[in-house]
This record gives sequence, structure tokens and C-alpha cells, in this order.
Amino acid sequence: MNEIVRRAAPWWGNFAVPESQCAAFDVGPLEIRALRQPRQWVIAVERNLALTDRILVRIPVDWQEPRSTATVSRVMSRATQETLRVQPVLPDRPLVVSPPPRFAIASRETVVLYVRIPVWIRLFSGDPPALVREMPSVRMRDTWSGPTPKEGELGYAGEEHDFPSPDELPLAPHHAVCSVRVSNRAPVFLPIEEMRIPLPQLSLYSDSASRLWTSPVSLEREPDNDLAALHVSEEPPAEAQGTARISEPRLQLERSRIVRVFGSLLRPHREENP
Amino acid sequence: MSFLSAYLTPERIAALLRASVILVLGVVAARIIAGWFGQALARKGRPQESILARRIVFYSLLALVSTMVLHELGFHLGVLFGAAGILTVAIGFASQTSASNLVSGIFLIAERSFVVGDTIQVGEHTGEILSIDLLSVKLRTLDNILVRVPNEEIIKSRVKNITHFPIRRCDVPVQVAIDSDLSKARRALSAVAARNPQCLVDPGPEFHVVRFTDNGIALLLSVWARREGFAGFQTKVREDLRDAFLKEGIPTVVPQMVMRYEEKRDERAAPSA
Repeated sequence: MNEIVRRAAPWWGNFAVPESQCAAFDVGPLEIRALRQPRQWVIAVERNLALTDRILVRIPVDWQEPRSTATVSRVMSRATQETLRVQPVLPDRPLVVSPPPRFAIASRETVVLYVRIPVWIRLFSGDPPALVREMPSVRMRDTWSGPTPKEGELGYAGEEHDFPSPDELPLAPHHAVCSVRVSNRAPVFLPIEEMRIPLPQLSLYSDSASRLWTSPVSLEREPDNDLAALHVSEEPPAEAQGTARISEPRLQLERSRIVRVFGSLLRPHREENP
Repeated sequence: MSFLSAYLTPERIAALLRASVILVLGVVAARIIAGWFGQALARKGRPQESILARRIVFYSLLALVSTMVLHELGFHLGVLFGAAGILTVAIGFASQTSASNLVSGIFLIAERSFVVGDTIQVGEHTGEILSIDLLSVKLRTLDNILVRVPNEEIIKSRVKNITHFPIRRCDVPVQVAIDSDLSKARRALSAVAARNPQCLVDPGPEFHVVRFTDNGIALLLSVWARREGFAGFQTKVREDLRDAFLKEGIPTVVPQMVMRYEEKRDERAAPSA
């Protein structure tokens, strides 16, 4: 059996899977097995949260009956085609990130905060590619982002961050980095309790080192305004070298690409009782 | 045969043909025009108004077409309308309930407390709204039964719209023994919420000591989740909380009543000395 093993290479892209053979993708905590049968793809997915640093693509491997903890799906067609495309995409809801307690941006300062995001993975087969399955690499916890349970938006809760630089950020193969530039032009500091990153409106890029990056997001608070303007850049992040866009945004931003978001992207500290 | 041949004169055949053409074209046109109205409102995200507008426009146009067909067939509409006036008064007296439902229906639609697709609880019925009509609201209950609730009844009664807001709170009332370690109960709730990705991080889990009862302490444990799949979520949380309480060794109590039976001797039956 000719086994193609890729390590540290991008785990996404097009792969040729011979008929009646199985492809195995171990990406971070995710173990994906894709069995190509003459008329159907059988996809088994399992998570092992203890192993998060793996990148291993093997084609072909022996198909083993999935364990009871795996979720198995079958997609039928007249005749399956050889090409299996693996594509990382950003999650389908915004990410709500909680900074450490009493976190603030100093007055008249601009800082860049780096946030890591567990990506989702899409499998396509054939030409033109048809979606076979989409799955999150990590099932993040649900959360609500809004002033009251009546108004707001569902999102995913990010881990608590202390916003290190991208080199210090503990990244696994299934993580993308989002840079959020916050400019506080006001004469007072800007306390932040919560930050909402509109992931469905961002593109995903890979750099020359096969690291994943999202479109950069910037936020400006004007001196005379409590509202901030959100800007999503269509360019790849400046920190990444040799970038290529690998997935489009799920949703398009409003026409102006500038929205009033102080209440929605950032949530300042709640007033404390004296 | 002679009667038919005498009745079916060329003029009458031509009138019948004209009436048939008007009827067919009229019904088709009424369907198309009603469809346009319905689609226009549906595009604005108002499904129940769309259904209603479609019906009102269709039946109004159908009435117009029927009038034209009758006129073409040689009926004197003045006499018909006169009879219809008398009939309307008679029907009006006989259909007070329907009129009440009709007015209630208009209020319901204007009020927009619920829309087609919402799940509501009215009286003893809980179900998804299939349609909001002029006379009634039709529900598909959780056990897949169609229930028709008259609009008047809905206006008069308390209606819970279960799916109005995107997130809901799942309350689990629990009674624990009076000497229970409440910090363990808090820990159990936090652990259950942290393990279940459907439990919202914000608003977070809530722990309330409701009151002291005859049997122990009444607690209310609450977690929030999105409304989709809420029934399954609720069951899972209750199961997990039960397991967590057992694991932490928190004694839960059920209401108990101790009955004492005292046997009394029948003094009258006692043997005399």
C-alpha cells in the first residue's frame, strides 16, 4: 500500500482517494476518516481533546469500523469521484472573547490583540466540488452577546485571553489567528469586558508557514464619541508573509464596512456600585 | 330533448361559453393576483399577513368573477343583491361567534404577539403555529395533532410564546436536605454547565435558594440555552444534574408525611369489676 504521509505541510487542499480506499486526516483534536465507496462517501469523525498538536494526512489507510463515540455520515451519489477537497473555514457565529479581569486600553493608544480561533473543516468531493460534510474542529461553548437576553446575538465563547503576540500564542494546527487593532483616541482609558469578533464576515488566509490567519479587524474609538467604528480589512494581515486566501467570508458585511459597534463588538466594564 | 333544444338557443350557448371563459380566466387571474400579494408580504417577512392577504384577495376576486358569470348567464343581480341583503341580516344574527372570531383575528394579526412558525402554549395545548386565519389559529401539537383554536379564545386567554426570544432559561427545581452542603450543589451546577457546550457562558448558570420548606431547602438551578433543541437540552441538563448530585453526595428529598396511628381501647367495652 503506497502511503502518503504529510507532516507540517498544509492539511487542506485537494487529495486523490482511490476507490474503496480510506483517507485519514488527524488535525488537532479531530480524527476524520473518509472512505470512498463506488456510490457513497462514508465519513467518520471523532475528537480526542487530549491530542491537539497533530497534523497527519494518510492516504490510503485501512478502514476500521468507527467507534461508538464517532459520528458517521454517508453521502450518496451516482458515482463518487477521486478528488476529496479539505478546506478550513471560520465558524458560523461570532466569537465572544473575554479578556482578563479589569482589562483596559490606555488613552490615546493603539494596540493589536491577537486571538486564536478553532476553525471548522469542510470536505468536498468531485468536480465541481460538492459539500460532503462540515464540522467544527472543537465544539466551542455557546454564549450570548448583548445587553439583555432580549436583544443580542448568539456566539461562541472564546477562551479567556491575555493577548500575547502571535509568536507566543499557543497555536495548534486547527487554530487561526485574528488580529484586532484597537485605537483609543479618547482622553480616558477604554475598559473592555468582552470583545465580539464577527467571524462569519471574515476571510481565512494561510501564510508561507501554513499558519492560518483571518482578515484583520480594527476598531477605533473617537475622542468625542462613546461609539466605536469596526473595520474589516479585505487585505490579508500585515504580520503574515506569503498569504493566500483559502476561504471566503460566510456573510458579507454591510456596504460601508464601518458599523457602530461599541455596544456590540466591545462591551465595556459594567459600572460598579460605589 | 325538445326542452333542451328549445332552451339551448345559439344566444344561450354563446352566453354559456362566455360565462365559462370568464369563470376559468377569472379563477386563474384571482389565483395569480392573490399569489402576488402573498409573495409581496412574505418577502417582507410577514408570513401570517401573507396567508391572510392571499385568501382575502382570492375570495374577493372570486366573488367579482361569480357576479360577472351570473350576469352573463342572465341573472338579475339587483334581485340577487336584495335577497343577499336580507340573507346578510339573517346570517349576521346567526353568526355572532364567527364575527367575534373575525374581529379577534384582526386584533391578533395586528398585535403580532406570535407569527406562523412560533411555538405557543394556549390553554392545555402547546404547539407550532401552522396558520393564523380570520376565524382560528391552527396548531400542530408536539404529539403531531392538529388543534384549531378559535381566535376569540386566544384573545381571552393567556398565551405563552415559547420561541419568541432566541435564548431560554432552563429551570430545575430541587429540594435538598436541610443539612446539605450548598457549596457542593453550586459546584455541581457549574460543572454540569461547563461540560455541556449548549449551556450559555453568558448569561451564566444561576443558583437560587428559594425557601426553607418542611422537608428541607428548595433550590432553583438555572442554565440558559438557545431555543433550538431546547426540549432535548432540558432533559440532558436534568439528567446531568441528577448524576452530579449523586456523585457529590448531596441528599435530595421528596415530600414526606409521617402518619401515626394510635389504637384506643373502647372503654365502654371494658369489663366491669
